[in-house]
Amino acid sequence: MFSRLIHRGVTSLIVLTGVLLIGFLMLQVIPADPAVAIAGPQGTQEEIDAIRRHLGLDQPVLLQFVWYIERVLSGDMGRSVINNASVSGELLRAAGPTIELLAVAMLWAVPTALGLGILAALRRGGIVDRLVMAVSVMGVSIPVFWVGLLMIQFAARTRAFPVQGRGGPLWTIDGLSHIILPAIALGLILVGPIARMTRTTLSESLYADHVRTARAKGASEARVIIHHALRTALLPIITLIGLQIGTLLGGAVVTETIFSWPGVGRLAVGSIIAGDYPMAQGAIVFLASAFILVNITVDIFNELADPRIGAKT
Amino acid sequence: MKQMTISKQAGVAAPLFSVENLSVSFSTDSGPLLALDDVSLSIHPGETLAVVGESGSGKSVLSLAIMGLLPPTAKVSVGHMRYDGRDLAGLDKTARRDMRGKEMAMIFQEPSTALNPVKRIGDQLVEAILLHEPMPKATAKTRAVEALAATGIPSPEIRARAYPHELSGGMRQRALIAMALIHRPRLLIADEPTTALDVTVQAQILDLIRDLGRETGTATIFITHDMGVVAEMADRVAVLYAGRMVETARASDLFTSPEHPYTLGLLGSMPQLNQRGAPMLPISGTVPDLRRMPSGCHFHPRCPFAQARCVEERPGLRALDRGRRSACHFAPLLETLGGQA
Ligand SMILES: Nc1ncnc2c1ncn2[C@@H]1O[C@H](COP(=O)(O)OP(=O)(O)O)[C@@H](O)[C@H]1O
Ligand code: SF4
Ligand SMILES: [Mg+2]
Repeated sequence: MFSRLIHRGVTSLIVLTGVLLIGFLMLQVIPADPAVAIAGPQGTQEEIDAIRRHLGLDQPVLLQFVWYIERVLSGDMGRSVINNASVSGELLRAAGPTIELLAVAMLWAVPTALGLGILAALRRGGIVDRLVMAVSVMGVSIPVFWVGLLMIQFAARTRAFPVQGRGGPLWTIDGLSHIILPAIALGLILVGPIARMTRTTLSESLYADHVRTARAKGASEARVIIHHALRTALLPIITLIGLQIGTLLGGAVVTETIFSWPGVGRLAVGSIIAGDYPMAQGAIVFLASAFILVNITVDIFNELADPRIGAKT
Repeated sequence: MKQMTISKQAGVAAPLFSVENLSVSFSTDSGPLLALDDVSLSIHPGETLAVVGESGSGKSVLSLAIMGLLPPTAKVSVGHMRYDGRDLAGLDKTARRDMRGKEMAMIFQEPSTALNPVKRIGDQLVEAILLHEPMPKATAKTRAVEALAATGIPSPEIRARAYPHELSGGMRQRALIAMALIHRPRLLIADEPTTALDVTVQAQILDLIRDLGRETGTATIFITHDMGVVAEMADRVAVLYAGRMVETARASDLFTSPEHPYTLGLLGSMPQLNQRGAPMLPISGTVPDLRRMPSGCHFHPRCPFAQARCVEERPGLRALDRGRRSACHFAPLLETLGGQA
């Protein structure tokens, strides 16, 4: 089990280095020379050269990359070229709302999807089953931004919910009413795939040998489903949820932009559009690292959920 | 109550379990499949009834039907099914469920998949205990370890904490036996419990089932395709062919003078029994497709004694002497076919 985790850790580190390289290269392709920018319009060539030496810009690129990693690790991701704000400061401010949005989206979508999937598996060919299949096909073919725009249309007409920005902490009425629409739009991505996976794995495991043993012991059908069939079907579902978090991060970028949600996704899109490369670089490195971290967490979760995984290595 | 005459004990005591005219069919893509056709059997307390037949003859469907564990796709029709005087077919689901694991228990063919892979052995036993007998969890744990010890598992405390994949096949089957017998059921169904195991382990598991069954006075329906196992375990034998019962007799009678050509064939694949006088007669061919059953006697395409009558007329299960019954036009065989064999 530990050797597997170490293996996963090493692969993740390599991927992370790749991400940092992309961030670093983004800073390299900035059209403006930072030394020229700092020296200002009146700067002489000597002044510019001095600044270049001071910033290490005359050193080999590889060395500059190492310095870049050192800076990122110490929390210094540079400053915005638009408003000179600290990139890591802005990211930290935007991370909270993004996590909040992801959490609320999953909080309603995962239980809903599990419930729908269980009902569909128990009543194959029934109404819920057909609904689940329809929703999951729809969920794949209707993009998030379309759902988001429809919701904004609807909310703007009925004035039922605010459609722009964040209203404050979740426990306030204002906070709740602001998060409802984006969380629904974002969570919808998850419902179809998770419900479908639950339906498939559960309808298989409902008649697995060990589930039959549980019935032969005299366990009630509810107990059979929850403790035996669902318990073993859970593993592929957890894995899928983990993989879907990646999709969810992508969806968050779109949702945040549509609903002006002040999160990392909107920060990334906004800074790319504005040509604010240091800010964009920070947001992308941040999102990618989050993605990798989530995947490792899902892996560890799987190890805990299924004793056989650890035994295989 | 016709079965009363089958065994000698029957005159004294009523059977513990009996089923009459049991038919089970599945609808498949290529038409209906009659897995069991009008099967009747009964078993008395303490008795071991072996159900034999080639793979696909309906043995597992029979055991699941008795346990009430057939999948919802199965269509069941039954004359009556009685356990200890109670009508099982008329019981509601909850009452039927309460009997499972307590009154009647089952051991399955595949110990490797019959245990929950993500629960510790001990926890699975504890669950079985608590389902029918509420007690503090710690007490149940002690009981579980004792039950494992009784099956001869070495260091039972350690095995109780293990997951199924950490045990050998033989040990898993021991754990499943411990689980099935934990409430001392009066009826035990063992569906090919040794088929998936090594030969050396097979003998140990057979001994275990016999000894524990004797200890608890359990009636055992022992399902197998191995005549050697039948010889070792059974008081009485029922032979299934393509979903129908073709012969039933006391084990000693069946081995000395089988009354159905199919039984002869099954015995023919057992060299050591041939020396006792049964004619050598291995069966050729395979069990027919249950959706395209041959006319007349279903065994006729493979039967060395088949005659024109067998192709047209379906033989019913007829009572012979000594409680034997055979579904062959020519039973008793020695009188009618003695010259040919
Ligand atoms: N759930 C099911 N659906 C369709 N057919 C089945 C099902 N279970 C068993 N059968 C069929 O019933 C017949 C008897 O099967 P089974 O009782 O498992 O045989 P055995 O245990 O004697 O090897 C086989 O032809 C099998 O294909
Ligand atoms: S009835 Fe005919 S075909 Fe069937 S077992 Fe007897 S002899 Fe063979
Ligand atoms: Mg079978």
